[in-house]
Amino acid sequence: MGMCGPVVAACSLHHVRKSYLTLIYYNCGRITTYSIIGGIMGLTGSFVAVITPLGHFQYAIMALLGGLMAIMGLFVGGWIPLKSDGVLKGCTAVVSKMARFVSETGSDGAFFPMGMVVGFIPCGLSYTAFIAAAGAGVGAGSRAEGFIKGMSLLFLFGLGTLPALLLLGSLLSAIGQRAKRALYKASACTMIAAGVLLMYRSVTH
Amino acid sequence: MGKRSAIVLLPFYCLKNLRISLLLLFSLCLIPWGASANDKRVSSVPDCDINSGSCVNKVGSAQIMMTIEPKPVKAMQELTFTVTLKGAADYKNLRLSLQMPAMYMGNNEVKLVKTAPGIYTGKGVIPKCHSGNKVWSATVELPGLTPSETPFTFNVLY
Repeated sequence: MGMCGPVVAACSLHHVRKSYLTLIYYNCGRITTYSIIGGIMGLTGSFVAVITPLGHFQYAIMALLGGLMAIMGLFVGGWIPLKSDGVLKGCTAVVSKMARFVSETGSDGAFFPMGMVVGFIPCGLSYTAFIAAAGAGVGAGSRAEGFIKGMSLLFLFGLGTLPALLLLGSLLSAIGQRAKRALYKASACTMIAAGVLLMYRSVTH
Repeated sequence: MGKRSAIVLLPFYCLKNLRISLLLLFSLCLIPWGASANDKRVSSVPDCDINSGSCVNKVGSAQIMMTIEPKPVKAMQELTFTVTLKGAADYKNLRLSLQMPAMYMGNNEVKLVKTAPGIYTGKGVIPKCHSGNKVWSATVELPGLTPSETPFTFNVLY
């Protein structure tokens, strides 16, 4: 909840839809990433050997995602105009497309790749699961068996994290539908706060 | 709206917003369950400096000493845990559980295999928690003794 919660909150409060598909696609994407990393851990049998190069990528993803969320929050909240001239025109064209996506014009399926990206955010609890996957790989009879064991372990771990995050997303989405206008600025602030928090953690790791 | 009318109208508000009420109720029920996930018997205050030497605990007449190499003890690297028992039964192997007292971080167990009389060794990794909390504990299980486990709480470098 600590790591994935801010992203779920930002998506659920602002991207208010009547279907739960966005939450399901998002969590499927996240579990897919966990499973792939778990498979690699099981294949190699070593947590440290995989997490060391992956760590740099994880913190880069964390910083990028945090920055994008904070910028989109500023646009969505109206603190930065969506249309600009001159130097900012090209930059705001890209971000305004993303902001319009956030404002309910994007497809539900787009949350699957978003979930996959969020799955890379470093988290102590998922590290413990990766350690277990690497351990399963060490005890496996072959690399293929290790890969399958590691992948299965992380798939089940991801399923275990589903109830809490689905609950959070459902709760915030339900509140958001009822108080959308009142929470519009609040949801933009949530996105900015979540983005700043992710960037801070990526720098101070 | 007065307090009395608010209390009277509360059930109607909950029925009208049934989905939110049910979700909130379910969330509240999860709080004590989640809070119990962390072992409260483990202190969150470091009781030994693992980075400058070994940690020693006593369980009855038995002495349990734990060392971690290499030093300094850092997270996210392979560590060798060595537990030396004196005045205790001769176990085939032991189990050491790594936990963060302040936050549930999953079940991280290190299997310690007997390498010499009274000496048990195993390899494990302490993961990094991005909350910034660096206090970890290693709990050694000692079947047959009372208490049946002894925790060592220490600081880890990130």
